[in-house]
Amino acid sequence: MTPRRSGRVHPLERVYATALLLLPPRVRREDGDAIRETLRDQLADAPDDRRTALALLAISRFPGAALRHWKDELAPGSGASRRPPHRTGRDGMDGFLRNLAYVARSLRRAPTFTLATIALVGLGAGTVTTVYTIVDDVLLRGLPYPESDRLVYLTNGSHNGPTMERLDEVEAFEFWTATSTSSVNLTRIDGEPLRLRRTEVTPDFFTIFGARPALGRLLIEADEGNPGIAVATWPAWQEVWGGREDLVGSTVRLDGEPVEIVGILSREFVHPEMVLGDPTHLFRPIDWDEAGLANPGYHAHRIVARLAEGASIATGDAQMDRVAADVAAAFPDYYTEGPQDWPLQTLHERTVEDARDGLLLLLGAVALLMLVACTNVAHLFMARGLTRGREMAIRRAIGAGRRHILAQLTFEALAIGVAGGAFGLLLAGGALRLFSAWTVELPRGTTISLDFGVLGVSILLATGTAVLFGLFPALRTIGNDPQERLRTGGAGAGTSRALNALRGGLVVAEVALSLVLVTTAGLLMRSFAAVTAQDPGVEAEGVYLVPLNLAGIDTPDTYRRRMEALRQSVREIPGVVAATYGVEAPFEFVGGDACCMASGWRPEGQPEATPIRVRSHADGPEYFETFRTELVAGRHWTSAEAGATPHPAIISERLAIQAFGSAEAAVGRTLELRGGMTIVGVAEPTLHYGLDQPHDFATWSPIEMLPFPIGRTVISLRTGPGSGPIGSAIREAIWAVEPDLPVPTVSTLEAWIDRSSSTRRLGSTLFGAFGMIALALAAAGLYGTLLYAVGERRRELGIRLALGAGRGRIQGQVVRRGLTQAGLGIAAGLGIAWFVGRLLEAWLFEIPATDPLSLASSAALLLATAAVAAWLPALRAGRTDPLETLKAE
Amino acid sequence: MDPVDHLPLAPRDLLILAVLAEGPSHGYGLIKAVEKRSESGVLLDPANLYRVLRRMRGLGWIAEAEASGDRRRVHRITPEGRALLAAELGRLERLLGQARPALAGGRDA
Repeated sequence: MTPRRSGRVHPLERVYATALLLLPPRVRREDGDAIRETLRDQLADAPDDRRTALALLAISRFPGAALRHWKDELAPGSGASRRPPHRTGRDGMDGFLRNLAYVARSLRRAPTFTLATIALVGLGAGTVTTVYTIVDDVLLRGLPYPESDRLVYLTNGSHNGPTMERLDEVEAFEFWTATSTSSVNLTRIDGEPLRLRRTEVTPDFFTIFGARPALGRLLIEADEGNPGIAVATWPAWQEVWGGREDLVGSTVRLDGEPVEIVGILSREFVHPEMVLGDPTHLFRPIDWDEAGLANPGYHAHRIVARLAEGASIATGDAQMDRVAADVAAAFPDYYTEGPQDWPLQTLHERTVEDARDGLLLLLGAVALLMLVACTNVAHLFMARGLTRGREMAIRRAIGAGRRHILAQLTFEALAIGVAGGAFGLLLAGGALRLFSAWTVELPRGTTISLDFGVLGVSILLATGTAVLFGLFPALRTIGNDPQERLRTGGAGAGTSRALNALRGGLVVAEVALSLVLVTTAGLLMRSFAAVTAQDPGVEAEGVYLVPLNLAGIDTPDTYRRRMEALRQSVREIPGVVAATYGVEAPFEFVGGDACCMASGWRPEGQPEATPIRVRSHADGPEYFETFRTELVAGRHWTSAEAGATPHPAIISERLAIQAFGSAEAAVGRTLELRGGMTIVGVAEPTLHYGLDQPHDFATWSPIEMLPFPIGRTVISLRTGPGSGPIGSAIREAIWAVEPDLPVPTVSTLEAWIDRSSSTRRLGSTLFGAFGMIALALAAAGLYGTLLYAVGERRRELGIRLALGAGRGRIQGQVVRRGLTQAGLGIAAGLGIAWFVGRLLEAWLFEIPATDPLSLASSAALLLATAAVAAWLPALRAGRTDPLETLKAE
Repeated sequence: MDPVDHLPLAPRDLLILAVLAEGPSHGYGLIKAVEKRSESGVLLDPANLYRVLRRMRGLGWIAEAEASGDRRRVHRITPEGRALLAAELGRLERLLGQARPALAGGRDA
């Protein structure tokens, strides 16, 4: 469990408070609050690490205590001084205890039934609770910041100095902040240099995100432009500096420069992941030099604002439009397309939008699974109810009242529900804990705690199903004359058509729901397969990538000089056949226009053409050799051309076709904007931001065109066939040139490409698992129904066999019955799956939602499973021994 | 009812009465005090504690009292409870007095 702040309610205290509902009403009324308060006192007084254990202990003892409370309450005499004399409660007490004992005995006698139903209820409730908790936490709850519903995000990526200078004019903003995160290298006296993330912020950042200092102070207005101070986050203080008491006031060396740590953020500060990306270690005052402020091409800052009270997004948008118009008017050469559009989006929406569809899909899937589980619970209870006709008849005959029998059955279902609920709670707790430890994929994943409301609802649903379907057969038998029931042996003639029809209906529903899950799984798996079959336009095998962060780069030339030295060094490693570098590399950024886009390119001689947005890439030597991206027309630039103006460029085939009609036509032409570039070659289609992203318009140019100094870089190198792992050789080659440079990771391009489709893999794996579970449950339901039907008709089958009916014919009948039910289910399921498929469309890659192959193969799979599930009971029917069955009657 | 009818007391009941004999206490105070005294680890959870307290209230050994300056309810021992505690302690002392010589003069454990 996560550490608790004092004064906050421990989640298990809520469980306990809910459990108090199980106490006798009078006890609850008189002592309920005191009991809860006692637990709260106990938890508040306990050390952090003992609280959960203590709460669990209290919870584990609660059922016993509740029972004893009921016993006290219902027992005559003891402790009953305040009970009105006319309510002796003797019947209640006796009835309750008798029922309880009876339930315990009867469930113990049927361990398979008991365990199976508990497992089903637990699995269903556990998964639904887990997923709903996640969905609720990620999608529905507000962000953990003050006035979080008024926080807005300025869309369309990073923004430039001229825009920020005008934000104070936006009256709809109560506060705004600009942030920019980059990597810095921390020099440590003892140990290797360490790469940290540092975020530049304006002071209102701390107001907007409700940050408080744990030690020292936060940044203030007067700090602006002072790069020599920083505030550390709590995790950084703990992990990087080991919680050192004297950190505040001390000076550390970042990228070789002395920086004083003036404060530490409190532990409660929740990192705004959507705005800042991965957790940052340090915050420093924003440092705009005049040139940076005035350059419209320098987009570096993400902007978040808190709307003033009463201001709407629409007001904010209108005022931002004015800012955009002002900026565009001030820099007409840059904003050739006129003012930009930066619509505001609530920070909440922005934070969850990428995860929303996937989570809702997952929620739908587990809800289906829960329904299948409930259907199976219904099956099991009905089957049990039907086989107990004789037992119930005997009990009726020896004087048990109808009410007692119903009470007993209800108690059974409730007991299963409670036990299943406990199991589900354990499952959900475990799953969420796993999930919290593994939150890289989802926004806001770190703050999740269990949702007991949903757990309660799902347990109620399962228990309700159990009660309903457990009572249903009993209600039918109870109506009958017990004598009649005993005479007919508890089975045979007594079972009605209506019950069989109901059971058949359950099977149909189960098959239909399973088909939906299996089809969905099939569609997602085929999409995943289609994604991984994409040709990325690079040859990944043997390529290694090393992201680095160079300190002290002040001109583009310094960058090129130092990078070239590093490149040469790794190029000389035995086995390396090509090496290059660039500001970023293919598959480093995943998902849409994460980086490096440039707007406003126009083909030569077409001033009227719509400007094209391209991904522009500046690369060191040997880029095309390293990634093995083939040219479809033209040639590579020569090293002599690299520094020429206009720069030579290789463009993507799609861009060539869009701009000039064909690859061949593009060679020798120019793309115009800010100096322009001469097209020397056209490259095959490449994927850059993930296998499922569209081929983009791309340009590659020599690194000489890089207009500004930058510290981030990726060295890429290709090894020849048969070379072993060379991670340590790469590090040594880098340190031979730059001894103080941290080398955090050496990755393979294969791993990066793989990562780009990891969400899809997760999705298809999850749905595959759900589909398999649903399939197994449906098969079990069908098998159980048919088996029961065969057992029930033993007498009839025996007579028919004795009269000379063929075994094959009888077996055929059973299988036919099973397949008919399955067939109906499949027909219904196909209808639902077709509908669900349309909701899935956004998730599918090059596979239509109504893909006939997926639908047909799922149907075939269901039918085959049903045939097997029906065949086994059929065999049994065929093996009926006529003499034995007749004798038994 | 003669207190002797209720003897011997369960160790838990005895400890609760002993704690309350020193002054009124609320639920958690009782749990803490009982745990401190019982080295053998009589552990009380809130629901079970209040079951015992309800029973004792019903028997008239303890009663609820208004705490000064605190919303929370406290329990105090009644004269009957005090008499019962005294009776039980007397019984235990007599029992100890009868049993101890066996160890003093007998075999080593």
